[in-house]
Amino acid sequence: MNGADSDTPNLSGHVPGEPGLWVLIFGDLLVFGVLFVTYAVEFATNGAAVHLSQIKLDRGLGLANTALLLTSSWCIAHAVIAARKGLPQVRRFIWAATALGVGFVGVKIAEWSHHIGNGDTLNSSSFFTFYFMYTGIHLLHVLIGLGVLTWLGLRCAPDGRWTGSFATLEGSAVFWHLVDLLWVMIFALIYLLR
Amino acid sequence: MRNGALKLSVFAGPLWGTLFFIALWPLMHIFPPYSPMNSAAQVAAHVREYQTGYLVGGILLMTASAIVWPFIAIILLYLRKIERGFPLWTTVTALVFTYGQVTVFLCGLAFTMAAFRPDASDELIRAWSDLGMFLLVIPAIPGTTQYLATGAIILQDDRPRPILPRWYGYLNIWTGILSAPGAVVGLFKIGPFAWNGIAAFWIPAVVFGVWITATQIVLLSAIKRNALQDNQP
Repeated sequence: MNGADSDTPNLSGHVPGEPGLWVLIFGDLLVFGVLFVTYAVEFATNGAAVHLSQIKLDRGLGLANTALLLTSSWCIAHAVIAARKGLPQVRRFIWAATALGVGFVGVKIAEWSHHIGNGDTLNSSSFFTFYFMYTGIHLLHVLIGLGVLTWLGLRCAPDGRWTGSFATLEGSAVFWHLVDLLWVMIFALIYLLR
Repeated sequence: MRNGALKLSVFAGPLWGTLFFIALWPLMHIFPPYSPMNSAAQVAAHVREYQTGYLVGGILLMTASAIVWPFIAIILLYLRKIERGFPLWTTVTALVFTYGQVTVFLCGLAFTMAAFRPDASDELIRAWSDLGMFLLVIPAIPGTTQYLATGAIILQDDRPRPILPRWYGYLNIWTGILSAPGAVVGLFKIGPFAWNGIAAFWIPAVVFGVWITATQIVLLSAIKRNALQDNQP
């Protein structure tokens, strides 16, 4: 069905993963685009109120999470490269990407607990509604992605090579990059833009 | 079974959608939904003004939940065909579809209750109307499970020529993820996640529209090439 499964992939004109996957990727980007515009409108019309809540965010934790996801994305990209070369490091890179993703979830939980402990919850202000809901929808993506990564890790050959469908590995990596990309957008919009 | 009957079954889907839309828009005038911030007097006045529309719309919603089954059955037939061995996820999808339609039935019933006694107090009318609004939007919760299970089945298909196209599997996952925000409407009365908000109402509504349209196209084309009789290894 697709040429990516051959041993010597011809990368010119190659659609990463499989064409159908991009329905999900572009569909998700489109809807997140709508969500980001919604936030931008709130930011433009209620800037002062947004600022009062926004300064409570810890940019350091946001930056830590950005670093975790970017590194995780780097690991999964290297898993794909290792699989392409038939190397046994595929599983190690997948588990490293998974561990970094779990780290992201841990930081997110700590961050949320901190805000909730300070009395800033979903309904405290329109900014915190956006903050919790957008990071929550993103977290749902992270959890689905971690499920996919775990499944990939378990499907590696005993020696750590990837023997399954190349398109499956590459498509999963594309989804994980999407999760990363969305986070970078959220970090820039919600944490940094003031 | 002849293909004609299968094709006819597919049209139970758009019929369901049409009844749903007629009930909400020209009859009850709740498309787009009224704001959850409206006072009891405002909501009660709206229900009393369109009392007949609410009662007839309630019947249409309950009817919709009863006539959609050929459409659901045909989706399930294809999923059963795809899933090898024990049809675990097909069964999950079937059960979740079933309770999703119970919420549609109860939604019609709640709006009927809201309009049945226009001399009832404003608060009572609003309470039933609120229940109707929740039953309209909150089924996104079971919907998410249903779409993700459907997507997982389609992507499991390892036949050289898949029974249902793989992009449709990904489309189901997309629909599932983006329906999820409908779950939180109980938390908000204003903003993008209230029941008239962009994230909890408009995005799931548009995504659902895309899903039901794509489903018809995919099913009709699968029927056309006799995918149910497909005997690929």
